[in-house]
Amino acid sequence: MSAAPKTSSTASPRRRLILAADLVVLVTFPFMFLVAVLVPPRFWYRIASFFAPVANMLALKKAESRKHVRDLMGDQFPDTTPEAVENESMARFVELNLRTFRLYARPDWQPRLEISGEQHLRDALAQGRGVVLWKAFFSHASLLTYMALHEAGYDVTALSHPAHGFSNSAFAIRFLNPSRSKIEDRYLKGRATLGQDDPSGALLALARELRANGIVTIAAIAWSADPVTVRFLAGEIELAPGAPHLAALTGATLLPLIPIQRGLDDYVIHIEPPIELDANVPARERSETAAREFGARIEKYVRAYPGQWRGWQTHRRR
Amino acid sequence: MSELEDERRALIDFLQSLAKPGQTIDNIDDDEHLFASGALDSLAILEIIVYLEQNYGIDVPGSDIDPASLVSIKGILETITRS
Repeated sequence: MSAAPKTSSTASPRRRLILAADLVVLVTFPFMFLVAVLVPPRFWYRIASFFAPVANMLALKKAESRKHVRDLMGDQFPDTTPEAVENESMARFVELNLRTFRLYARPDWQPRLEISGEQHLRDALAQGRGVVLWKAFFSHASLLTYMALHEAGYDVTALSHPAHGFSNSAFAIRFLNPSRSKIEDRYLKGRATLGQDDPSGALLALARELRANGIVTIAAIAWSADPVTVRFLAGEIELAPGAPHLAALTGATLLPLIPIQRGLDDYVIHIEPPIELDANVPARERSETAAREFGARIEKYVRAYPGQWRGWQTHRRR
Repeated sequence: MSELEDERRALIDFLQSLAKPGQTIDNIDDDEHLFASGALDSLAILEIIVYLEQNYGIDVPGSDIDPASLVSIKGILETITRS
């Protein structure tokens, strides 16, 4: 695996030193590690489901988050409830961390990984201008997605945020979040991490990858200070405009990516047909159009797998 | 006006077109960080790359230009001058 351009994140006066949630994660780390190493994977989801309601009770901005889930679901999900969706989503997150810990201790885990729509990726690479994979914010948008692409022979550079993992506090960035990213990096060509106040290094690294007909991944999560709001289900969601903007300016192909868990150790990475970007309209309008299209593409997956979508809990991640 | 002053004026006009609402690029020091100061959104760095390519033929992604040189008016002007 070659070394890719990486940027470092710098501490900012606005960043909290530590959050209460960090301490909860820290306290549960030894327990999760023991479970990951000693308990067979087929029991993990059941264990995670048992603790998920407690974890959700401790979650920050719980009332705001619950309201957002209700607003989005409206009456369009008669077979489930916001509480059930939140609990499954949390359980998937806990299970993902167990997977990560397992890979630290026993790197022999090999799930079944399939890429659906891989031809769209091949076609895009054949055009020679690079590919931006715009990842829907599902539970397996990082580790399992990188594993699947790596297994299929693709070198991928991921745009990342210092808060990726657990939280945006200085403590989490230094001690907790690397527990996720270090394992993911085994399956990546490189990781370009946005500095809190300086995006230049990370975005230039991505532009260079695309110029070399590389593949970059960008999560559709509203880290951006200026997100695009789109109608979604019965409400609205915010999406960062970075992926369509980067693709338009570099001429790269923009492909939506939706990672889904079908069963125990069975994952499918859906790659949708390209989202077309009109070079003749202003950038903001172009990004808004692309974001609406992206929302329309992922909605059927959210309806089918509501508990795997992590966009429910957080309106804005800033 | 010297050529450098023309380029500086053109650059500031361009950066102003990217600036967040209420931000005035003329009020920012040449060596001040355009992103940390809050004048520009993060995606503006991509527009700057395209600006340098289209107006000065500078292939930023294809060169070894230090990204740190693209975050201030002074750094961008030095990049143009060196090209």
